[in-house]
Amino acid sequence: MSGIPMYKATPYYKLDDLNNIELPKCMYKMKNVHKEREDGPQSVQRGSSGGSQALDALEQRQENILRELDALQAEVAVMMQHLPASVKQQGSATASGATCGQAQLEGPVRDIVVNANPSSPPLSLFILYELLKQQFRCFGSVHVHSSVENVPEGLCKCLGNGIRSDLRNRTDFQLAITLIWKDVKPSPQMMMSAAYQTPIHGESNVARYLGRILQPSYDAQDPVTATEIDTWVDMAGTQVLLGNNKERAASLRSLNSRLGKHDWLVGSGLTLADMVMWSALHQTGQAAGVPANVKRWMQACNGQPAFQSALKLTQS
Amino acid sequence: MEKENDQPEVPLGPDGKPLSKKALKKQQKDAEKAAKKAQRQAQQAAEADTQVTEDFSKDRYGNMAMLQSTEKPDRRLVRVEELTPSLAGETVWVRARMHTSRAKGKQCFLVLRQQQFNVQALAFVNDKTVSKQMVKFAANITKESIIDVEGVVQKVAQPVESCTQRDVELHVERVFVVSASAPQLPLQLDDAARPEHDEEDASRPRVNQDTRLDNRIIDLRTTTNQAVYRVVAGVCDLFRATLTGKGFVEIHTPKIISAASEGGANVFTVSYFKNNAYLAQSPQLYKQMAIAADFEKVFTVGAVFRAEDSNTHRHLTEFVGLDLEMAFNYHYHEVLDVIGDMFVHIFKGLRDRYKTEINTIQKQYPSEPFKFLEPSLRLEFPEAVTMLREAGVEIGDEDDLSTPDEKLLGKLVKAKYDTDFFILDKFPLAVRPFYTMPDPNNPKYANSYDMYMRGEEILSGAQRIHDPEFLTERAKAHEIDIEKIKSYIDSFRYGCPPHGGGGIGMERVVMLYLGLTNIRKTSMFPRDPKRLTP
Repeated sequence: MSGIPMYKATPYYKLDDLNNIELPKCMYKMKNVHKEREDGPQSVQRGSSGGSQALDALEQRQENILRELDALQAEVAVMMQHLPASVKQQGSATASGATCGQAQLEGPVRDIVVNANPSSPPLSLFILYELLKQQFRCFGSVHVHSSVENVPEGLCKCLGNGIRSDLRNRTDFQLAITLIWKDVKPSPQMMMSAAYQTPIHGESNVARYLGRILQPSYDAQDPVTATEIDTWVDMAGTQVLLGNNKERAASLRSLNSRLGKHDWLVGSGLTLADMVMWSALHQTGQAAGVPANVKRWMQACNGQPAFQSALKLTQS
Repeated sequence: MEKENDQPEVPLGPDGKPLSKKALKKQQKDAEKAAKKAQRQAQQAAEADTQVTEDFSKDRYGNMAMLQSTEKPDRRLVRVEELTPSLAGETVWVRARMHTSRAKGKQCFLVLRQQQFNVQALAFVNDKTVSKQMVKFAANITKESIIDVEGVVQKVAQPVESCTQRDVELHVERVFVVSASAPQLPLQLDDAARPEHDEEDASRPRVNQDTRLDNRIIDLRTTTNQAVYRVVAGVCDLFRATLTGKGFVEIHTPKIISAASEGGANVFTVSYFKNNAYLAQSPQLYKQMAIAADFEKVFTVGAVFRAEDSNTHRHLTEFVGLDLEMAFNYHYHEVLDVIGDMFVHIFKGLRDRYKTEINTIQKQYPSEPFKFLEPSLRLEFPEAVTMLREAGVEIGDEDDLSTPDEKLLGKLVKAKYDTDFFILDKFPLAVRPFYTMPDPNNPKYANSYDMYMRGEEILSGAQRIHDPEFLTERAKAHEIDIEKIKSYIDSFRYGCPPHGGGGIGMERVVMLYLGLTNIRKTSMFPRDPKRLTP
């Protein structure tokens, strides 16, 4: 308050003297409603530290609760040690089922519905299905929608016969792929749960979802590798599958240059990128006239066990 | 003695004096006028005479005498359906109903209707064949009369929008009334055939359901109803054809029975000589007896009577049940495969062979086309419960599905799989009848299934218990009096193969396939708690 001199006014009320107000003696005396106790000034001056019994009790309760909470946490930690590893990771899973990397899938069979046009079957689906079969109990069934007629016999049995020849119920499996041949344009669609989502379009996106269910997820590695895979998958989806001739030629050129120095598209092994690109090239009918490096890579893919059922479809 | 008059006689006026020149002229004019008038009248009289006597087409029209089979003319009647531009220029005979007639001076426009098809006909006055009286007669024929028309098929310059045969019209040369209709109709066919929600005709009257059902004969004549009942016949036909092709035998079961079969309380009682008997609630018992009698695969098409006092859009007291029962070798899924396949055949047959009828019906009752998968989609009860829970419904693991649950499940399945028909397998045992075989792997569930179309249940079926001891046990668990079902249990005592099956309501299947809103639209003469006639 130094600096600017101002008029000083003496305080009108002397608040310290509240309790020393002299009351006139000629009036009736009434109890002071503002004082807590009859002790008068002493109780106020003692302050809030342990001043009221209610406050004491409240503090005590809080400490009790905190102690019980600690005990509970300890118990849960002990229980967690006895449970399988998957449950620990479930805490972060979202309800829509887009979970990453689990060896167990909760609930009755998770049914993934893929609607595709029989004129261009999504081959990467079959490759990924073979890989999924190795990790989960899964079965596939194929249906023909009423909007198409005359689907060739080979396409009607491509994922096996469903559970028709199996003694187990549907609910004994973890994963089901239901492939429906339907008049969808321009790209396949995927539905998981009608209550939570809208359809997912595009073979590359279906591949990404299935790739994330696999253990380890295709994008569980470092971000750079994951992005490289994604770039190739995108190129397969947009430029090869849906692009015009110029775009296709350009992607063939980039494929060729990459495969000149490496055996696989990303890293040193088979990845999602190889699967989707292989599928895209076959679907657009370019498998025959590809440059030498790409040809060599395609031969390598054909040799992989996961590619066998998809390969059979291209030959029929 | 009279003088010779050199002058003409001078006419005298009324007062006897000779007329002036003007008056003379006036008189002359009057006389001329009168003469002309007389002449014209005489001419007209002569004309009228000729007209009345010269009705040159008198034998080309009229009311036929009541057809008592007096003659067998060598005449081919062409169907209205066949009147196409390929017949242009030809003279044909057509027997059809008079749908509307509209006179305009010397012309008369008629619309002739025959079941699902109608065509425009034109009668205009000409010198040789059609007289004015004939056109007048045609215009006065009452609506809905049955008429025989001979005419020339002519192509039209502009298509006739209001008729199914748009490219031709019939130029009438002869018209005879075979059976006249009373002039006052209880309802107008145009109103009965009008689409419910057409915005253009929103203010025009429609006929409500009770009026239609009270005057069913006329209501059934609309093109839409003609098409609907052909689709109903198609479903029956496809059901028989598919199952007969798979080796099934058609049987006929009795409808008058001595004891209520399903154990439910809703049976009709009939007096049977000195006792009482009941009308069969379902052919279940007799189907199973036929299986025990070694027929292996049977189906039956017959009436089913349910005395439920339900006044809903999907219940009738009497309906046609299409039931089947089949002995299987090792697993009841063999039965499910057959039933699923049968439905796919029926849907495909309707989709491919009844396109005309379905299009006609869609004009008055538009709806989403029916979608299905081949092979039929099969889900299991726990999956359905999960789907419903995800959508926010609270339902226990062994609860039965209520009607709103079923509708919601139908919507969810449609959104996920895009199919209006699916099978739900492995229902909880607690909610199924006592003769349902429990699931060997999980005692809480049963080998039993329901099938749904557009979210409404159309079939309930299961593997039946074929062992009499086990059947007795299950009946006791359901607290059923064994004495009452003794004859039922006895039918399994002499060896019975494992079997299963199910039954569907024909009217309900057609109603859901076409997307109609009320089952009375697919039953020709429906019966419900409030209706016993016609």
